[in-house]
Amino acid sequence: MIVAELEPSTLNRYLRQGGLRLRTGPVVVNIESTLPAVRKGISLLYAQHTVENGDGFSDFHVCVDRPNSLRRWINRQVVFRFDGAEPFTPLPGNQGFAMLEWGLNWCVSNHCHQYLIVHAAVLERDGRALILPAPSGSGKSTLCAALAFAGGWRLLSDELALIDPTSGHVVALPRPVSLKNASIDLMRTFAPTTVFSDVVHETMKGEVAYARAPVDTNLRADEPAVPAWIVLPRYAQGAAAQLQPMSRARAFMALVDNAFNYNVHGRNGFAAFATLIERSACHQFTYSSLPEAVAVFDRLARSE
Amino acid sequence: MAQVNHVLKAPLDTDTPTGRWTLQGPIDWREWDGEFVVRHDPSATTYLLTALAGETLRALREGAAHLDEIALRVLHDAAPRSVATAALIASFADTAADTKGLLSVLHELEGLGLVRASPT
Repeated sequence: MIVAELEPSTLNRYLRQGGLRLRTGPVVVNIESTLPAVRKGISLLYAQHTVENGDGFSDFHVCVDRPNSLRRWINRQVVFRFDGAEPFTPLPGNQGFAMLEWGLNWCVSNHCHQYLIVHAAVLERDGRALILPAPSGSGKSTLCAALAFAGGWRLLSDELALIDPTSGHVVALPRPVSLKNASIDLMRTFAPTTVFSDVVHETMKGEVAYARAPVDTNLRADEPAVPAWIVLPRYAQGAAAQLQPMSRARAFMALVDNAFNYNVHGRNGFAAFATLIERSACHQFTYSSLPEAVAVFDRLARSE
Repeated sequence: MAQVNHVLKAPLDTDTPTGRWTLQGPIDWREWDGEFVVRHDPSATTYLLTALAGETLRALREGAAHLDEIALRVLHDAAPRSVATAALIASFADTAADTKGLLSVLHELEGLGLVRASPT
């Protein structure tokens, strides 16, 4: 069963009593919340995600709700709980769904050490993975959204590349696509049929909105992809789209710089990244126009 | 190849210290097109190194210990490994300046905790 098939009252009951067991790729998250904004966000943006039945194993038990203290009445806030603990400071009350998303990123990047995890968007075409490692603010998510919604690429993740260190394959982690500030209106214009959430204002990242992942992201969530390209993206206002070769050693260091748990894997992590680099063509990419960017990656996929 | 021959004929600096250089613990590395990535296991730190620094570590790993041995391996054996490596090392290699430059690289690697100098 998927979220869209749940009656609203059933979804509400799950979230309030015991939790909604939501599958995203290899991870099952048990989510509890009494907040209407969280329920609305899950209903809208996780509509195609599988709901796991019964009392099976959940990788993470999380809750987004009002604080238990008096602050819930004095200054409306939301808190994120992970196994009952509150690892983050409370956020303003209108940021419940965003806090769930940020909290889930934290859960995966800090606990799923069966994978090498890189701060990167991942897309796939013809079984080959395009990995876009980059820090926040580089234009990674905007480029990823453009390729996923209008570029013919399957989205595996807009935020976390999960790399199986044994096979070297990238595993999908289907989640809503996070958009910030100017990217929100840009993507609304560029991919108008996409389902977007309301904009949340004045978050720690500015204005934030989410886009529902394309349907095939969930339908093909069990299909890993073989790394073929590592591309470091950078948005530069007014710049022509330009894809340039990058040395393997520098691409390797970019993976290390953007990795969450490279050191956890020790020497195996080094070997896995080295294999990944040797299997992939490495580039850096500068862009300002999304249609130009989509055309460049279309040519890349066809030429190599 | 002419550049390699030039290196072979170059006299080693007569002021070469007699101290021994050794790796500070196990390292893993890969070399691509004349650049090295090196992971130092004891510190769990990964570095991007030039061909010269990478070849210096390789020489130590293969058993060279004294400066003249390291210089011979780096300037002689390493040069043909790739075009980029050969070019970089050839540009560095200039007779008496060779070992002085190599010593400078070794001290940089020592500063990173990758190698250690000890008296003979």
